[in-house]
Amino acid sequence: MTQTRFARIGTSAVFTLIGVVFLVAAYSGGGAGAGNLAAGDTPNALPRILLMIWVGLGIVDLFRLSFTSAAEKKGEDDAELPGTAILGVMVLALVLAIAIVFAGYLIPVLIILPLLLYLTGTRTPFAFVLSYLLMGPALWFLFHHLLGIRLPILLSGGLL
Amino acid sequence: MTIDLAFLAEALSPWTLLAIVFGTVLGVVIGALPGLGSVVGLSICLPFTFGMDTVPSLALLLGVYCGSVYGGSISAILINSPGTPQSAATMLDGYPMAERGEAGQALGWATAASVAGGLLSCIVLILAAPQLARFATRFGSVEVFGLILLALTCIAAVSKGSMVKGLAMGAAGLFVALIGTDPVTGAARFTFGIEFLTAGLDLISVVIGLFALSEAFSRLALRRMGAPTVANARVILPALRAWKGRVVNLFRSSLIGCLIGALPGTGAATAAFISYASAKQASPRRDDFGKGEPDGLIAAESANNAVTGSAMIPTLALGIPGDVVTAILLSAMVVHGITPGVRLMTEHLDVVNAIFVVLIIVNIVMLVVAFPIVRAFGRILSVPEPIIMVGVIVFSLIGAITVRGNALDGVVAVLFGMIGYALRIGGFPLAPFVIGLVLGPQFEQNLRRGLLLNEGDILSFPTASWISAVIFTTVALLVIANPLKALMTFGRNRQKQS
Amino acid sequence: MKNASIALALAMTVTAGTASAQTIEMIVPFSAGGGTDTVARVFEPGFSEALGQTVVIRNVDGASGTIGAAAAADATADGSTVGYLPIGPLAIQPSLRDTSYSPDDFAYICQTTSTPVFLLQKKGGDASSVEDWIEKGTDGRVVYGSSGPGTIPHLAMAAFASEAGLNAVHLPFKGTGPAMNAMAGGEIDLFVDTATVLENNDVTALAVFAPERVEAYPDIPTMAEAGYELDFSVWQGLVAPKGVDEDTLASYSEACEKAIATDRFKKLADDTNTGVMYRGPEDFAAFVKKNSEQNRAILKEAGLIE
Repeated sequence: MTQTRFARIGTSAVFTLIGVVFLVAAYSGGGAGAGNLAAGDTPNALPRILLMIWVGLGIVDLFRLSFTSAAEKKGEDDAELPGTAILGVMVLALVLAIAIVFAGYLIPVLIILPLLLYLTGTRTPFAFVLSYLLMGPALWFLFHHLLGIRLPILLSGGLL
Repeated sequence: MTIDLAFLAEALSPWTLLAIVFGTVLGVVIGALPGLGSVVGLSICLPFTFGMDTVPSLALLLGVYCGSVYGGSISAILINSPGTPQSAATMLDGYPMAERGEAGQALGWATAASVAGGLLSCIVLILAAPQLARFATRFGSVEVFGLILLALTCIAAVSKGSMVKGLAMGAAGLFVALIGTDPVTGAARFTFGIEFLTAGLDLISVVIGLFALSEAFSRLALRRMGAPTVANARVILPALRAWKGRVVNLFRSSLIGCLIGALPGTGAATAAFISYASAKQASPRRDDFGKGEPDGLIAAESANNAVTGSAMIPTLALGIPGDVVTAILLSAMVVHGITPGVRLMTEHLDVVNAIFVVLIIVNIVMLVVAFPIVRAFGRILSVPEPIIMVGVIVFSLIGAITVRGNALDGVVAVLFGMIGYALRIGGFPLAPFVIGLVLGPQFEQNLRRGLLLNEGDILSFPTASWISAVIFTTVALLVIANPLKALMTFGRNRQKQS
Repeated sequence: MKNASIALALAMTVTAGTASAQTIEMIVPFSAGGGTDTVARVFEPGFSEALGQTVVIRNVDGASGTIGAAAAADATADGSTVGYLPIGPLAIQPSLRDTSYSPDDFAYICQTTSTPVFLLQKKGGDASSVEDWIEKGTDGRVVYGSSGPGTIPHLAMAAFASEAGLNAVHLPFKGTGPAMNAMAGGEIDLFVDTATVLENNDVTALAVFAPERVEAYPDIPTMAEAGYELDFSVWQGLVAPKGVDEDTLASYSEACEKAIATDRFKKLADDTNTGVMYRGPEDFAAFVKKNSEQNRAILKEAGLIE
């Protein structure tokens, strides 16, 4: 229970903090460049208003969480706390997405897909090989070659 | 007056029918796969249409279009990830129903509402296209801004758990939609010098991340093996008597879809949210909205499918393509030597009539193919869940990457998947964020244009025209009414308690 | 037949270097189905046939075409990637914003089209000439639409407004469609676009932004006749990343000339009132340079950039 409460307050704090970061950027001019300003028109007004609402409500939310006891929060969905395996899955997915940017689609998928399957608990050889082939090379071939939707490639002009 | 029925022969030719069936099936499947939406489906088919006759090629594209808008609801209901942004509103009540073990009924309501909405909009299109197109031109920036405000009231309706969190998420969604190039001045905002961000974050990639990927992550975390919600999925159409008290909702939602669809550049997602917000006001079962209420499903699905027909209204009557989808349809016409435009309805009446007939057939075919496709989906979902979720991750990546042809969108999707997962743990509702994100660009552009036109005076908006007077009064009533109602029920509950 | 195409491919390989035996990727910086994409998809078969190589189109959408243009500029300069780019990302956006590329980062292959633009107003309005609008714009105000900041409809009107001293309000829309809806509803007074837009909507043309009257529209006066020397057109062309060797460039340019002479391309051009215009590598490069400078001057004049 206390763990759930900690997670909730932590998320709210980070959520508000991100808003604050953007708000600082909005006022420091780091975000918006110089544009043309027609009569009273500015690219900055609306983002600033929205950010203030974001941060303001975020702070209200934080206060509420800090001053109401955790017991009152029952009845809402029980928070799902991450295990270590899921962190691995997320990191792998992120690595895969980043690798695709640099090394094209096919090769990263061929390397990371089996890791993902293993980490999520697929152990039967048949299911493993079948889902690997279907979601790996078969899907790539379907999109890249049959449907003509180009996926990122490693070498420009190459076939991979 | 003699009516030339030659168009019927063409619209009912075996090639056209084949194209319709093929297109509709493909559309439903593509729509149902998280990440792949109408635009991807149409771009796949566009090259094939170059070698086909005019009517079959339009039939193929219309099938894909209507099918994909409906198909999005299947994954929204079964795996809580909208297959397309258009069905983000479908998820709000569809998934809770599925969680209750009523996936079949939810799919049934969604299917029936989609087909009914689609057919009603065909009728509107056939009977009133020129009138509605002319009426739609009276919606200027100020009026459309009012409509977007109306849709935003939805945020309050879907803020499950915490209203404060919901509203904050709505503001955050609106803000994130503004990242990128300023639509009025062309200045870069919040891009931090990263060129990729000048194009803004892609809506579809963010939605895929927030819903599909974060759902996959949290399911993998929980290891809810073979959750009962997805096993044995099939469509159970609602019985006729179940419609009692819901028909008005169906008609109202379809009409909202027709009107929004006729406004160029607004789209099915906006229509679904506006319709959902108004159904929430009008329905006698409004308190169950967001908890798995069929009325919510009807509102969302009939409205977004009604857009498919009425999006053709400005396209056919004025030659104005309202969105990417109709622009692709128009380009298919151009390739076949048909110049779209104001004279389309007079010069190419046969093609226009054929489009009408094709649209009606597509909606009927959709009803038929829904059963086997959902069955097949159920079959796929009976594969061990971890494998499906890995599949969702792979498909989400492909979807995100192909939307704009940019591999960085895949990274954005995964990052938002992680953010979405964290927000779920923190008890933040995700729907308000997506509503803000979907409506953000139009919210800003119409507001800014309205301000430019009225010399920065926002208070003159309600008096700009009678249409805007009506819209802004409605918005004001909604904003005042909801807290009042909440206060009253609160008071009543207290009385009961004491 | 098959032998012939293999022989052709071999011949190309010998003349154009080893790299070009591969598939050529043609980047289109807008989504499938858009105006640029439609032309590119009709251009591609002829180009591919003339080269004897497979050409595939890759749509890279975003930020007014600059993301796709950047991808084309950054690609390996071995001839395996080309970009089919219109005026916006090539000759306007680099002046308007900080883009990672500049017009100097491309090797120019050929220009394919050039289409003059017209000054448009709603059909049946009370104004009937450029002079009427100048009067309105100096007494009160005129509202003009565009398909986004820094597009040709915006630039042409901004140039006209600043030359004529108009009190003009610019309303940017997301594309031509919504802008035409706004014109039909009377929200905007003026719009600038090509003959396609003129033909397909309830609008009339007041003038053409070209040095001479357009053959297909002999009755529409030029802006010069109203006293304003304004020349604007939308154009497209094929580019490669800078550093592609001369032979490849020459063979691509030759294939490009053949591609725009095909019946298919001509028919599309006729159907969409697009002007076919060929410029070879040097001419095209010089033209883009001149056009960019001109656009930059207008942007500065109109107060859009410093």
